[in-house]
Amino acid sequence: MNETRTNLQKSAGLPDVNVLDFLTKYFIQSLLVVAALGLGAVNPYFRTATNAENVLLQASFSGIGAAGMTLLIVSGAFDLSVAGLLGLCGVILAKLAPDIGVTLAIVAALVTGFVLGLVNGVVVTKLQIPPFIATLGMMNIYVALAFIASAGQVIPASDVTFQFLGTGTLFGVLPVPFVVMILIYVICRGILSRTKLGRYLRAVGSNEIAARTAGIPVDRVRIIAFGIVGGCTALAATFLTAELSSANAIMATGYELTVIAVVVIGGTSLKGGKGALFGSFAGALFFAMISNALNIFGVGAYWQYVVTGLFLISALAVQALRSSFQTAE
Amino acid sequence: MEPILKLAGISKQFPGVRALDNVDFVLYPGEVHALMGENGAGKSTLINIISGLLPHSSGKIYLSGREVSFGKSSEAQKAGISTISQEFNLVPGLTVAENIFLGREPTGRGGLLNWPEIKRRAGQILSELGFKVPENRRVEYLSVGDRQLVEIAKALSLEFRIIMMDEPTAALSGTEAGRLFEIVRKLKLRNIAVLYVSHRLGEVFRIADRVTVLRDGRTVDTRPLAEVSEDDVVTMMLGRALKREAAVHTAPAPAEKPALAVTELGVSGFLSNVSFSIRFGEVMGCAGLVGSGRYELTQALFGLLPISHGHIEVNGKAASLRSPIEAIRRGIYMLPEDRKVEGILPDLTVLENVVISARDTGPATSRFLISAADEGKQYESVRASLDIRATSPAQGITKLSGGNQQKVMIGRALVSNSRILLLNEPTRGVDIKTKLEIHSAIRRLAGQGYAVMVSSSDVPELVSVSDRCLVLSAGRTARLLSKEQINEDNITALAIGTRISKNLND
Amino acid sequence: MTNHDSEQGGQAVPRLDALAHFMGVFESLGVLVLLVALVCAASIIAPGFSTYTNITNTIIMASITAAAGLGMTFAIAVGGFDLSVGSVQALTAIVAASLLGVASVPIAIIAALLTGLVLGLLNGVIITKLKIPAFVVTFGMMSIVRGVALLVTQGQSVMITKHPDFATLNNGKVLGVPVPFIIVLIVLAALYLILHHTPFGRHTCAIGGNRAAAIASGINVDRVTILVFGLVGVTAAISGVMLSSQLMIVDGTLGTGLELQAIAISVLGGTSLSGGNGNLVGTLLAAVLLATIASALNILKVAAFYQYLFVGVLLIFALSIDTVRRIILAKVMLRRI
Repeated sequence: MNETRTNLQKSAGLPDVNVLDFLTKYFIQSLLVVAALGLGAVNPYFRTATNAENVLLQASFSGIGAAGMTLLIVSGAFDLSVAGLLGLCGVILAKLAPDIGVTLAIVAALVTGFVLGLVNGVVVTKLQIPPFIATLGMMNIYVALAFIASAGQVIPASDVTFQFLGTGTLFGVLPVPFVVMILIYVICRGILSRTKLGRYLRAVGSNEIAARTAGIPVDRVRIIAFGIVGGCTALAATFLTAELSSANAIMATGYELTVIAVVVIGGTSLKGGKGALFGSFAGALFFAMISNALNIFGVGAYWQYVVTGLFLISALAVQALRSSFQTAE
Repeated sequence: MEPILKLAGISKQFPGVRALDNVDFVLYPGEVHALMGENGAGKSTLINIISGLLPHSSGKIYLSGREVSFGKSSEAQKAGISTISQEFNLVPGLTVAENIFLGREPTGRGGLLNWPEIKRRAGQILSELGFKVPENRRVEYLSVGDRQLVEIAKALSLEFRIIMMDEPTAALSGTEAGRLFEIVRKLKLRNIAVLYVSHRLGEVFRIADRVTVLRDGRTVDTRPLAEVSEDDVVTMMLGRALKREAAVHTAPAPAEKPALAVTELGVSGFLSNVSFSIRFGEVMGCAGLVGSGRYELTQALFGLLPISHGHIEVNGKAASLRSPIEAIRRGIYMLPEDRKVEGILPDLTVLENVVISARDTGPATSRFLISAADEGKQYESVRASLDIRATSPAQGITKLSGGNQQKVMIGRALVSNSRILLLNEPTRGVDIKTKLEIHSAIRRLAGQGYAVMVSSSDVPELVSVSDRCLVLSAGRTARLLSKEQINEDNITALAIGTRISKNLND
Repeated sequence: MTNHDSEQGGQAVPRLDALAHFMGVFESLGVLVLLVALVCAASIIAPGFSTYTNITNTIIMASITAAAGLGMTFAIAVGGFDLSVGSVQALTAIVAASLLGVASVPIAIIAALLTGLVLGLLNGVIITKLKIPAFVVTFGMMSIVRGVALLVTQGQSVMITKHPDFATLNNGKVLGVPVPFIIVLIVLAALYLILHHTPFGRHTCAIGGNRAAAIASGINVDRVTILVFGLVGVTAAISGVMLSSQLMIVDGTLGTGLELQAIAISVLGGTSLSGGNGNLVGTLLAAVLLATIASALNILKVAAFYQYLFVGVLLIFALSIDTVRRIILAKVMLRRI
């Protein structure tokens, strides 16, 4: 524990908040603020309301997925199939909407996402296959199913409800998906800190054997966590389909990378047991902001791949270095 | 005679804690030198420094008079220091020979492995140890005792001058321990120095020449064992004389139905035809060497192992216990042997570790939502009853000492509302003061009407807390001892009894 | 774990060991038997399957995947994974193709192999020095390298025009056997020798089997791990060179999904995910198996995305077998008394 308090702090009569501790604990949030200010200062377009709305909108796609993924990672697992799952749910949504109405189609898509998430969970727990490999395989299956369901075509989704969901705003300036994202994070935060499920998730991620010996239904907890990810992914699919006014099998390629990068940069440890939902929220905003900046500066889309990968590895490196400082106590 | 190893003023500082403080230590060739001390006294740190796994903060190390400093364990090995540890450093998928030479494989032309040489040298060492397994057997198919022999073979092949053993008999049967002591004697004859770390007073007095006691990171004293008694050593370890309280308690009122009745229980591969019953209000000890099926018995009763034969009755009703959840629902709770691996949830707080097994009875909301008030009460009653030392309920569990962590584990059992407790090695890795506290807690629980089974490798512990004692040997019931019959000799004799007669019949 | 027989002075249970030998043989032979069965089935069901052309094409397809798979087997043996092999394949193919426009064939090939080596070593360094799990690091690298491949080509294709004879690397035959297959056999032989007959190979298995034991034995875990990942990079590059020779026109989108195939054939071939061993021959056989099925499906005009579906299902299936294997072994270990 550092005990440095700068003289500046003392003389300014500021409360005994350790600056270094604060920065470490709220690293991504601080980074976010710095990046926002920096970009805003450098580029005037960045400061416009339209652009800000766009950033919030883009952030909500990965952000909603990241909420569920955070809970899953807390329990010690990962889901690499979300890109395929998203495509599949989007295709199902777009195909069903003309026949049964948008609302029912959304419900169907959410249920599909949740159920397929449960399937992922069953494959991981009952077949005892390491999560990231199992979900890597399931990814192929979902993408293929999405192709089959859409016959390789792009399915249009142009209902007025979709328009509202994709481009509408609530409270004047906040895009609908962003408001829902806030809601999702509040719900997930509640689950993690106020429910037994949340505690079980942390226990399973912390020490699975001990959790089992303590009488926690480990398999069931895991499966539910995967289901939550599936549900969040389906929700993200709904909004993405709405925004694009269409759906196709590969509309979310690379989604899993972004979502996991968001969670990692948000501070959640890959080892499980601890979750940083607020960090994932900020991380989603941060990524969207960087992406947006790359676009504004005319940097090609291919750089996104490079940047996302770099951020993921850097964030992990920071985490690893930080925990090696702590274990030296 | 010149010492082979000399430590002068060794200190080791970790952030926030001084693990070793100005320790002086001398080791002579051909002596068996025991190192004793409570948990946290600094034994493991000292061993790790000598073996090169940790650097020391200050002080000097002299090997045969020359000052040395090891940057990593391979340097210590090259200098002739070898370590046998509690966690076996063997690769299950490689063969015995490959494990013995791991990291120092003899090579032939072109850097390829020299198999004939490997086979020859491995065979030599193994036969010297009386080890009958072929050297190309994969280690994953060996028993615990055999794996340890492979470890020793590995150390022998290094032609060491100092060998350090850390709790070597912890997982061994009586025969295997005897085999180990024989080997230690052979090492003495070869003028090799043996540094023997152990909690077991009996062993130390049997095999060691001198003993060094550490307390709080400092050397208390080094004495020849011929000149001290067991009580002297314990006094050195604790810093005060030990008050042994006689285990006085009243016999439990005979209950109508036994709490737990086990009939002809079989667990494939571990147990066969075990029958006994435990009443509410009594403590049933369970004795047996490693491999006797002791742990597997409690695991089966807790739903962690499948039963291949026999019945279990809880409170007079037949029970099928297929998982810990079902067992807890029937009122049974198990304390695992190794709390670090199977018990503690490191990222959770002390309070959470205690209440995690609380059963979801009551209104629907309480099944899903956490009630901080209820949990606070549960934690407080456990904390007071067991005297758990933590700075607050929200403290991280890993910050607690081993003894307090063990109390948390026992508290977890109490919170689960189970009246039948299966406690495995309840005082393993726990300092002597806490050990006694746990023993009185066990007696108190029995007095309050719990049915308790204590499965332990610590025979004096069993003698101290048990009303009756089940002794297992090779997966079968050797005997169910009544109160009058419980003493160390009876238990030990019965635990190894079956095998002795087997040997005689060969 | 108890073993009462062995308490009589070190006799491990002979039944167990015989069973282990049997299972080892079964694992390799199992894939072989399955392969033979599938080839027969394919010959019957898919007309034109058993023509010389088709069989050689199938074997060539298998070789390209097998090259990457053999490296992946090594990675699994050391206890990790390399999810970047697909991206590395693409980038090295681009490097080879681009250099073939300005330099000779040997230089282009060497440059490609060096690229793979460097990328692999980079993976290894990040994994060991920053202590980040292999699959996440390579997950990130997968994206970075893919981005670089796309950036370098700006999304365009690179054609190999100056050295048309480069295609013989793919089309040539020695005694009727396609050159790519010979290349893979050489790679297999080299890797087999390394894994089973060198200290380095044994150390690799030690690290994957019991990392703490490897460290305690003085093995330089970091160095071995870095070298293993370098090796994986090289095999991915070999795969990339072979692919560029086959297509003669490359772009940044190649190799997507290669990592999945490589893992699938390693596991199907008998390498256990828990690390500590590697069944190289099995990997090659499984690669041929995969190619056989793909070829048959092609002939039967089954749409491409069904094949995609198939690889996913196959992987899950192969992994389940691995799980069953582990469970059976554990149960047999217990059958005493």
